[in-house]
Amino acid sequence: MSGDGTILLVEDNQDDEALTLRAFGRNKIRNPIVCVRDGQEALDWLFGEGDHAGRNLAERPAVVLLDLKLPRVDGLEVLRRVRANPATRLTPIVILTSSREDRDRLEGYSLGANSYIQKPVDFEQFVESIRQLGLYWLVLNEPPPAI
Amino acid sequence: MKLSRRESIFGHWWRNESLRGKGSLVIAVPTLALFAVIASNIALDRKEDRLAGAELREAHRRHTGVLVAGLSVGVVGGMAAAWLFFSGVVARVKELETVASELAAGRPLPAARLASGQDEIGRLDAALRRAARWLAVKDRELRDIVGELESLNTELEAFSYSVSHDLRAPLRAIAGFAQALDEEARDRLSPEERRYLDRIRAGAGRMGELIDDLLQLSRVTRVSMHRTPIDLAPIARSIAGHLDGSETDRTVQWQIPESLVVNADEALMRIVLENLLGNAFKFTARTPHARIRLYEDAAALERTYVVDDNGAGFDMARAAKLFGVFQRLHSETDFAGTGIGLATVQRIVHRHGGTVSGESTPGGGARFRFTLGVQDRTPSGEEMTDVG
Repeated sequence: MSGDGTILLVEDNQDDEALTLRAFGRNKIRNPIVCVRDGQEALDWLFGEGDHAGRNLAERPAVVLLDLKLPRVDGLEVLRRVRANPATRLTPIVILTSSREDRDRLEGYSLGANSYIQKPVDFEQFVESIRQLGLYWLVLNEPPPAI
Repeated sequence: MKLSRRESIFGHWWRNESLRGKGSLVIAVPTLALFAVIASNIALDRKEDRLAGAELREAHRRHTGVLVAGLSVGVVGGMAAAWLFFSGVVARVKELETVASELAAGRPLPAARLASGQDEIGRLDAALRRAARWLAVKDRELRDIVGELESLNTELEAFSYSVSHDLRAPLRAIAGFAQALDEEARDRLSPEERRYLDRIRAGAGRMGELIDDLLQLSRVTRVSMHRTPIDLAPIARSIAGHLDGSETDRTVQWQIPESLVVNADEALMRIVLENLLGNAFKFTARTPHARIRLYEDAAALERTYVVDDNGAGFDMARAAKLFGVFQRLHSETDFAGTGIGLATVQRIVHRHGGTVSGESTPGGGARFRFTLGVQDRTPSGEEMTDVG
């Protein structure tokens, strides 16, 4: 069980970040949450480089919530690079985006995302989605073993 | 058909140079033969007065010889003339035929040879070549239009994608923070203030529906269509199940046939049924014994499908607006809805080459009929039952 695992939230929109954190709070999910605002920072954190050089890489995230439209490096590129790196390629990644366009879903799954969730407009639904997300990825799902 | 000028064969012959040369020769020979026969006859006449006996018989024999020779030459010459004429024409008409069939096949035309000229055949050849040039121009114009349409479609797709992303984000903030406010501060608000908050949230929710419906309408217009035999009945049953599940305190009587196979695009037909059945479900909300039916009209000339209900109905006098985007015939307070559903149904049905219409009486339910165009046919009259 990854009950205490860190959640990496990759989201450039501050409103969405606030709402997501609030949703986790309402669902009493107390896992440590790391918020990064763009794709480059996400990669830096995951690989322990740049601004996050020296981070203890043994602390692997239980799940990464990845938005697609990000500045500097976009979501799909982050996905591609994480999957290409042997140290991180097994990381559970959930795409959490406002787009339900077929091509985004196709690209996301083709590049190896574990899951694709469209952010609902309705906040109650959003809270429910986060609850189910948390329940599944943090409680039910078994994360990959350390390589 | 009256011709503007009477064209004689001679006139045609005269205008054609190659025929003129050979023809003149061929006419001259039998003519000379005829003169020879006539001259021989005249000579014989004169000899008849002067000669007698064996010499006369000899003269007769010679005359017969000239007669036979002359006739032979005349006949052969005549046949040669006819053959020359017709073979000249036939060869040119054959070339015309080749030009015409190359034109019909869209291939480049062979260079003009025999068929050119000042006469009818020549004009026909020229006309065929003009037609070929005209077709080439039209073809280029068509290609330009197709190119333009393709780039318009790409632009539309980019626009829809942008709408999908960029409009939803601030909307989520409005809805989300209004709810957060509601959760945190509702107790501290007056009833009036609470209503303001509720209306903010309702507005945001409505805008979300509008965005979704508009996007669906846009997608339905640009997505590519694949017609296959599909059974509408299980799709309808599945939709009915979802509708029933969404409002568990209602019981609706659904009448859906065992099987209803049509030749159409499955994803698009699903949207049609979702809209029509969803509408019927919505407008029978206040009907005690709600009944919604899907069936094929056996009496119609072309395959026609009907969704009807015994719900609130609508005023036929305003039916012209029924399929307009955002047109609603009921107030928002009576029946919620964006007014895009029927526009989407119409767009899909039209893409299939069919038509859709609605009729109703207020309080007397509504009936929506649609067809799916000429390609919605059972192959060779047999029922399409095997859809795999």
